[in-house]
Amino acid sequence: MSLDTAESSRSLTAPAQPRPRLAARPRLDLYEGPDEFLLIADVPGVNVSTLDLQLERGVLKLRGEIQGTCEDRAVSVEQRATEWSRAVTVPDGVDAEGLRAELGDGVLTVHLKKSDQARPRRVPIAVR
Amino acid sequence: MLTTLQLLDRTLSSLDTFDRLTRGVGAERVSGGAAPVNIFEGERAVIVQLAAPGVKKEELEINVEDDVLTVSGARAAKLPEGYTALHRERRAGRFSRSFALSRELDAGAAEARLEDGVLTLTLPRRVVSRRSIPVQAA
Repeated sequence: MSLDTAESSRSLTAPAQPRPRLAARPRLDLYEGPDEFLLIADVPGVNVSTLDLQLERGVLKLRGEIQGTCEDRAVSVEQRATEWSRAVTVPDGVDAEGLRAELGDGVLTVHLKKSDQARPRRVPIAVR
Repeated sequence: MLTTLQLLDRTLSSLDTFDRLTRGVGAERVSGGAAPVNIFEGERAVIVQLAAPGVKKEELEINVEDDVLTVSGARAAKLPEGYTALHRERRAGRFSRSFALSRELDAGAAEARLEDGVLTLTLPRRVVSRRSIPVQAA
């Protein structure tokens, strides 16, 4: 299943800044419940003040600056990124108004509420 | 400064070795890649940052034994109740990273802080006190 849109690679070619920016794609899970979809992304080093979340035309864009990169000299770097960035196509039938997100311990959880039409509905069957 | 660099070089090669060693021991699955580490060198301390998103303080273990610092922990692969998984990329399970400590660092005075899913270990350098001994003429 391909979640990503072409948008996600754009930030990698962004013009150079004083502190070189390097975006990495956070790992994410997508779950479906009866009333909502849950998108859970690992964004270690990001706090609420540097996290940006946007839903536009069925594409959810998340971007968060990674805090806490030391000014001291780096001797070994396995995590080079300075920001997390990803654009994800949200499933059909999501109510854009009902978007809710939480951030804790470097994990972002986005609740994507299903629109009324998309929710499963029990069909009453009349006995004749 | 040169000494520290050499020592840290040793740290890096040991880091690989230790990761490999741990993988072969027991049934425990250890994936070093699940917890990427950055190491920074400052004037007064060496700082180790380990990404551990979703890991609680209680789920982390930090040990120093025979000049080897080991950080280990686990992340549960729990599915939110009543939900079905459509797509999964996030890693779960145990992770463990080990580092050879240079004698120059004071592991006893180390500090650990867990914030926004990042563990920051500050390993201060030992304060070397120098004393000159006057030579007395006979």
